[in-house]
Amino acid sequence: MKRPKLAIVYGAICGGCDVALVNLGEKLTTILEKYDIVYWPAVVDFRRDELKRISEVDIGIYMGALVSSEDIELAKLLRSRSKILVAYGTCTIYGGIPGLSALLGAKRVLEEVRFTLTTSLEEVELPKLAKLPELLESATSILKVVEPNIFAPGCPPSDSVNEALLEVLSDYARGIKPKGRIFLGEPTPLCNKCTRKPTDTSKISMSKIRRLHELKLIEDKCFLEQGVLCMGPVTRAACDLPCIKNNLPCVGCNGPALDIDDMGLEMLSALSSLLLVEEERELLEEGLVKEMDRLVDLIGTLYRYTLPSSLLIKLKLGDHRGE
Amino acid sequence: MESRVLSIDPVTRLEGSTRVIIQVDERNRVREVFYQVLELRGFEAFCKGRAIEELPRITSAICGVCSWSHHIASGKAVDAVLGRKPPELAIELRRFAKYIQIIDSHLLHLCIMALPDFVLDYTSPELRNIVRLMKSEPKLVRTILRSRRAIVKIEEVLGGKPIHAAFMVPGGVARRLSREELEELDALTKDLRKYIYSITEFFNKKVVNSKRFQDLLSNEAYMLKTLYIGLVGRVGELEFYDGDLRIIDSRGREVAKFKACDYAKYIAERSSNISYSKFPYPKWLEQSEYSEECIFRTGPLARINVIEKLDAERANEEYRYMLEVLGSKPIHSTLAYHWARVIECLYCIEKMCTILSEDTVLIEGDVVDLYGQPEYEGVGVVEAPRGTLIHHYRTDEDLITTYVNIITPTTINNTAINTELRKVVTVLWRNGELNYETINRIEVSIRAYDPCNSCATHLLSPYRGLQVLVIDPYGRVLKVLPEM
Repeated sequence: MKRPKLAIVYGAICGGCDVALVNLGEKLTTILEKYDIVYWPAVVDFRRDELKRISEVDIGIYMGALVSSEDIELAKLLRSRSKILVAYGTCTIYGGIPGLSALLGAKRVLEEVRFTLTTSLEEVELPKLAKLPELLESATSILKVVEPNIFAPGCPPSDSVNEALLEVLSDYARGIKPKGRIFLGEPTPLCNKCTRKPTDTSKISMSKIRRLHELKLIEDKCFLEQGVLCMGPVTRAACDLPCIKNNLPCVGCNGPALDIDDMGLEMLSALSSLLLVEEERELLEEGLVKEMDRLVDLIGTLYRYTLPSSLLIKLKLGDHRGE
Repeated sequence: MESRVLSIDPVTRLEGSTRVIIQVDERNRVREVFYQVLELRGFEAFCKGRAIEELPRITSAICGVCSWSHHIASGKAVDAVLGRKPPELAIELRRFAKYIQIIDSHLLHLCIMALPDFVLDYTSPELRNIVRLMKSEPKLVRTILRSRRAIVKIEEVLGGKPIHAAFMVPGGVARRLSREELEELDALTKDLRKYIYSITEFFNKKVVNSKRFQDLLSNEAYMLKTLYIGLVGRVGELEFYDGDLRIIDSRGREVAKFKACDYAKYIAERSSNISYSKFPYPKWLEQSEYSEECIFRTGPLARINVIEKLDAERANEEYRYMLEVLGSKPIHSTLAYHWARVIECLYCIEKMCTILSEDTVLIEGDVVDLYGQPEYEGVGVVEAPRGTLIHHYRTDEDLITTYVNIITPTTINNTAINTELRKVVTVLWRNGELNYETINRIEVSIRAYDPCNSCATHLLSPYRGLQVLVIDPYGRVLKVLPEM
């Protein structure tokens, strides 16, 4: 069989996904020996023109959120060239942390940016080729543009997700092609794997609300039971729980667990069933409201990694027609 | 002949999306050169409204290569906002984490991105990379891969994840380490020291001694006589976690030394339409005419220039060797950035070994101190791998973020990169065409700074009044539009 071609293409990245791949070390190099790397800006010297000229790539990996017109073009280009397109990392799949820019009231604010930038463009008369790519209304997911075949979630993807990806690459090089739409990594919620879990996960009770700076976290007790918001109940357990093991609550970086469409809404519903359950009667409505006010910045917490693909933003941007 | 516009897109073997645009006039002379960063995420804008204690884990995502630096700088700023003083144990763990971060990023850049330029100088473009290096220098690549494994493991012990760690909490760190973990760190650190020594040896033999490196070191085009900025310790030693900021001029004279929280008295920024990255400049020179001497540079070379001593044996030897070859400080040759990186790796690994050899340092005491009166404003500064990194926050009385200013090292270097690029392109523009060799030599200049464009490009704030600067590639201001 001909050596398969691999291309790695970026949108708006932090570079963490790149490093996560490189950190695979020998495991990666062993597999890459079977491939020709035809594009990977951090590693090899091929230019965009060269990518455009390639008629077909076997595996295309896209990393990063889409924030500009150029990102969209590149995502489309990669899709059109790739037999298998991998959406690598949470930014690519859900928008990730840069997706919080959707909060800024997208249209109005970004038009301001555009306006200022356009004004200066008129001043300098940059040649067409030198004009900066136009910004989108907010960072967004690759799914708004093209349909990938394989999803590797995580910020960045964990060792277990990466190893699953390497297996796909290794199989492909031996002629075994992946079929259908594949989500790598454990699909169920993180609570299922958590070592801190209370004896009965269905009976977690959050008797108070505490912000991270208000307490010393206990190392073996469920965060929710300590009063601290933890995204464990709704987050895909596609990692080895490094944050929780290191005594900090889950922030949801793997995106939603299987069958959860909207991470924030699902977490809100989970919270409503475990928050102040036993205290409800004593606190009365007024006390309850006061206590609930201690839940600050719900959007930035519940949707930290998935805002652009949330129902919330669809409603806000008014592009929910037909849904 | 018609005027033309050429591009190098993307600039490869560095982090983030960038391109170089070269404008050539009718007489085939270089008219303009732009180094453009092409993405924008707007962290400074969307961090407003977030709970202040969450910022260390949000801003970490500005950069996946130096995520630890953002995480720690942010945590320090949050400490200041809350008026907290972390206990000694937490500070030592943070320092330790800072050292491994420097090594992590420096080795990654040196081995994967930079070495191919010097060691594979003779090869064609498709071969000048780490994949080819695996074939021509298998022993070195094995050492590099082993060093990566040790680095990742050390970072996992400290922060759970090596990238976007869960480590900092307001007033301390998330947890203490067990005896077993400290033993594991000790073994890994000693292994890593061995690898760093052998990479240093390779560097001295194959890079420092190479004709290409020597030529570039002495090439005027790859030299800028600038200001240098970086943290220094109490007695002028190399410092990454704390200390004062020091600025020296191109002749090595101290221009200013100040508390990090006073940064805004010395550094100002402008925005331009040629790039999504801002252009910082020395505030006190706002009115002076443009010259190289008015540009900041930060990072490994700047640190070596601003410090007075290096209190680590092996690092000090290498430092002396560099001075012997390059003459007295300040060193202006941009390619010396690579060398300074090697010196810093030696320094950091020695410091890590010292911390671990003091038996009780990483064991005794609390890891977090919750005591403190909120100040509602705070600045956190560290030396990131690429230079001085500043996080500055304000909050309302509920400790919800109301203001965020982040200045990253690559942003600080932006004007210098643009200026040098113009020099390099003008010199290399002989036959009037961009071939692989010229492109590579142009990129070598940029690569020496190890620019992290993920850091630099994602910070422009859509909310803040935006001052638009029309700037030429020398960083000269042609026109400043008022704040909007």
